[in-house]
This record gives sequence, structure tokens and C-alpha cells, in this order.
Amino acid sequence: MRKSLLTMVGLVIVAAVCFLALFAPYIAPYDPSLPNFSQKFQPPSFRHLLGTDQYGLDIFSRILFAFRLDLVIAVSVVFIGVLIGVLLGAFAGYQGGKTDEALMRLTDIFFAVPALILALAVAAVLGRTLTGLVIALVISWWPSYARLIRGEVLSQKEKLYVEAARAAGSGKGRIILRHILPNSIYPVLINATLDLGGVILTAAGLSFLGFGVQPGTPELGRMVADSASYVFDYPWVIAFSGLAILIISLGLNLVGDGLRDVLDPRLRR
Amino acid sequence: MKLRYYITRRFLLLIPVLLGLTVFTFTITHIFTNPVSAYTTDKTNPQQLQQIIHGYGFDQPIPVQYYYYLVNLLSGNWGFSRSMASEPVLTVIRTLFPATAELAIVSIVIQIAIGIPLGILSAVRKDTWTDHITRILAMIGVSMPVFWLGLLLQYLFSFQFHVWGLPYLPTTGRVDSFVLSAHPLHQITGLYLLDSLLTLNFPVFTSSLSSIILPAIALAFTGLGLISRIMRSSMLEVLRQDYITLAKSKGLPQRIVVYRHALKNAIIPTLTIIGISVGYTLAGAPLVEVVFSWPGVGRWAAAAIQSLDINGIMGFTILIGIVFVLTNLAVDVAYAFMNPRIRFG
Repeated sequence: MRKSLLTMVGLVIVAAVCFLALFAPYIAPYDPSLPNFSQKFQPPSFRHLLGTDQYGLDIFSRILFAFRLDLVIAVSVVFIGVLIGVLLGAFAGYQGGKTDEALMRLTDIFFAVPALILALAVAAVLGRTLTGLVIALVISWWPSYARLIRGEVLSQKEKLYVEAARAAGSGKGRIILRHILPNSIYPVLINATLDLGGVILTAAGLSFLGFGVQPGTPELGRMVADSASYVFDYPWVIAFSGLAILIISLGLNLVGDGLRDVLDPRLRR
Repeated sequence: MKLRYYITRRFLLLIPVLLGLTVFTFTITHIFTNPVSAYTTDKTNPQQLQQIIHGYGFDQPIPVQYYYYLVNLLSGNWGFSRSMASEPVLTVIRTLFPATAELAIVSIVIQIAIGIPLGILSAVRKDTWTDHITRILAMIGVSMPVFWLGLLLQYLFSFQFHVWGLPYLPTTGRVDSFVLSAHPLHQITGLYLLDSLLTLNFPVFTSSLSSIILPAIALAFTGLGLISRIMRSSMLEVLRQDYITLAKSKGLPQRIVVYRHALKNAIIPTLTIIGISVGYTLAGAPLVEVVFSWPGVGRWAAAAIQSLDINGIMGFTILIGIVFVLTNLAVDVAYAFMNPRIRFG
């Protein structure tokens, strides 16, 4: 009961963040990247809800636009990751034998290093761009989906309906895409939702370290990094952007947790 | 299967994984980037360029280049780190790794020392306010941007405490440099806390203990949430079993039932999660080390990224890979030791 209350809180947070992100240009009272030096380091007030930073930029407006960017990053990373992972994993699982073995050994490598550090290594070659950040995160995230779907496909492929499809003369691609995947994709989709919060945190961490977006871009991790040196004199310059990261990933984690509970009753207590 | 065979088998299985990791770093350094660039500056003339390409074997076929790469790695030649005054990567690691290891160990000790009791408390007082607050805290833990938490801790416990005239904690470095120069530390392990205790150098011990508290707490937060969550659910699982009901019906006090009977079985699943929390701790290291100017490998990796020091980043990646894989092995072995079903299964 209490648990579903927490899931509801998560849903409300996620819905609110999506709403703010979607309508950012209409809600935001100021331009998120037009400096106004006469207004710098203004404490939170009715004019500037969450105060202003070292360039006189309105932090509230910047957070709204950063929600946009961070949600787009997280959703595209998970979407592309699922796409690649599911296709490769399902094919390997169905094919079995050496293909399967090769893919599993390949994914082992990715599990030998924590995701953020793997993404760091990949991002080192891709350069400090937004696309580079997304690709680096996709490379770190797809293997878990590939593993998950492979396991599901392994348990599905011996079932009668697959054999029936094979007997009816369906090709390999058709059997995987039309018959097996619809029956085995749910665990992957749940995990993907669960991962969104983690992706946001990792992306914010990487851009805090100077990866991904350029300095000055309204992105939550970058905003914390850009203003970190002013924290002692003007604490609000980092307080709210960091809080925004916490809130958005907390919301996503609560929803993901609730989803897992609904679909996996063993964990419900 | 005997434990010895189990350990040997698990150890041998690490070899392909670590080889795979070197294929990954090789692909990044030799295929996606031009390996020659690590050896050249804008003053390199074409003749020298040819010498470099030929001398380091960059004109050889890819498999041959990989062979050289592997031989170099195994013989301790990990290249030179541009961001650390072009010192050899292994020398840099040897200098900086103890700082990171110390921070990670203290952080994991905090995670276990707080996470496990918190999980037990939450399970024993299921559905009370203690339980709800613990679970919400655990959830916040896994959603927390550690770099931001680090900055907040600095602001509160260092800056504000100073302003309020309370005893405050340092925000940067491993030890106060004045204390260190007044009481030079004889380094044995490179872990300041341990070395200062062994040499009875108490001023340095106190100083490094107060320096490590804030970064270790920041780094511990995520794992703390994970550990307390798993501890709670595995404790609840065990508390439902028949032998616990029996123990309770014998009239044993709850304290005995929980700590003598249930804990031994409930703690085993929590062990496996410690492997995962080591992963989070290592991944958080660059972030926390940057915030607290902690002179470890994480801060080096962050600086290496700024200056596109590929050798540095790859050295760091391989190092973390080795540490992570070995801690997971240790966790698995401990698990098999405590739970014979794994070994015989």
C-alpha cells in the first residue's frame, strides 16, 4: 500500500518534469542563455524564483531547458541501447552456437568495467560533444539488454508456437521479430525504464567532468560544474540544479521500482 | 567441487574477460584514434614521423600491432601520461592509486557499517515509520548525484561550520600539509590512515581521518542505499522461515532470534551486492575526487580527459577493470565459502 503511494509520488514527479520540459519555452520567464551581468548572483526571489548564476542567468529557466536536454539524452540512450541490444541479443539467442558464445563473451567485457568509466573511455575518442556523450552511454548500456533478451529468447525458442511458425515456413527474421520478440520483450522494457534514472545520473556525472555538452549549455550536470566554484558565497547557484538531478532520477527510480513490483510479485512484500 | 577448484576455475575465467578489455582499449587507441598522435607534437618533422611509425610498429597489420600492445601491457609498458608531465602510466598509477584505494575502502566500510544495521532495523520494524524513512533514504541514495552531494557537504560541514564557529572539516586533499611537514610520514602502504597508525604518527592520523570523512561519505551514499535495501529484503525473507518461527515460539527474545539465528542466513545475499557497490564506488571516484581535490587516480582520469591524454584514460580503464573484476572474484569466493550450495551446484 505504502509502496504504491511511493510509485504514485514517482509518477507525479515524472509527469511534472515532462510537462515542464515540454512547455519550457512557454513557462520559462527568462532566456536560458542570454547573460545579464547586472543581475548576477541574485538570491531566490519572486523575480528570479531560484536565483541567478554568475552570468545573471535565471536558474529556474535554465533548469526547465536542462530538463528537456537531459530527458532527451536519457530517452535516446535507452531507446538506441534497447534497439541494438534486443536485435543482437535476440539473434544470438535464436541462432545459438558460436554466434551466441561470441556475443556473450563480447558483453562480458562491458561488465568488467562500471558504466560511467566505460563511457569515459569511449567518450575520450568521440570528443566533447552531445552526440559523443549519447554514443558513449549507448555503448555502455546495450550489453545488459542484449543479455536479458537472449535469456528470454532461449526459453521461448523451444516452445511449440515457434516450431509451428517454423513448420509453416516462416523465415528466421520473421520468427524472431513477429513471434518471439512480442513474447519476450517485457523484461527488457521494464529494465529500460529502471535504467532511465541511472542514465540521467551518469550523463550528469560525465558532463560534470567536462564531457558532452559545451560549458554554458543548460544541462544539469554542466550547470553544477560551471557554478561549483561559487558555492561558498552563493550556495543557490548549485543547490537547485543538483536538486533537479536528484528529483528527476528519484522520480524515474520510484516509477521503475513500482513497475518491477507489479510485474514481479516475488519482490512484493 | 572443492573450494580450491572453484577458486581456480573462477580465476581462469577472468583471463578472457581481461583480454577482452585489452581488445576494447586497443580498438579505442589503435583503430578509432591515431596511436601515433601520442608520440608527436606539432614540431615533429615528417622524417621523425616515419621513424615513430616504423619504430613503434604502427605500419604493421592490426593483429601484429595488438600482439605488441599486449606484450607491452604485460611487460609493464603502459605508455606515458601526457596529463601527468609525461610520466609512465604505471608510475602514475603506483603514486596515485593508494589515495583512491584508501578512499574507496573507507567508503565501503561506511556502507557496510551503516547499510547492514539499517537494513536489519528496517526489516524488523517493517511498515513502521523507521522502515519508511529508511527505504526513502535508500531510494534517495541511489538517485543522488554524488558530485553535488560532495559540494553540499563541503558547504555545510566546512564552510558553514566555520562561519558558525563550530569545529569544521577540511575540504581538499588527503592531509593538512602543515601537519605533514611537521610530522613527516614514513610511507609503508601508501594508505595514510594505516601508515600513520603503524608508525604511531597520531597528528597525521587525525588530520587524514578528518580529511577523508566528507569524501568517503559522499562516495558511500549510493552503495549505502543499495546495501540497506538488499539487507532488508533478505532479512524479511529469512524471518518468514519455519526455523525462525520455531525460535520465536521457544520464547527466545527477538534480539537473539534476529542476530543469532536470522542474520547468518540473511547476510549472504547482501554479500553479492557488495560487489556491485564496489562498482558504484569506483565509478563515483572520479567525481568525488574532483570535488574534494583528492590526489587519486580518479582525479587523474578527469584531468586526462580534459587534455585528451588517451594513454592515461586507457590505463585508468584497465586498472579499474582489474580492480573491479578481482573484487567480484573475492566476493564470489566469499559467497561460495559461506554458502556451500553454490560450490556443489
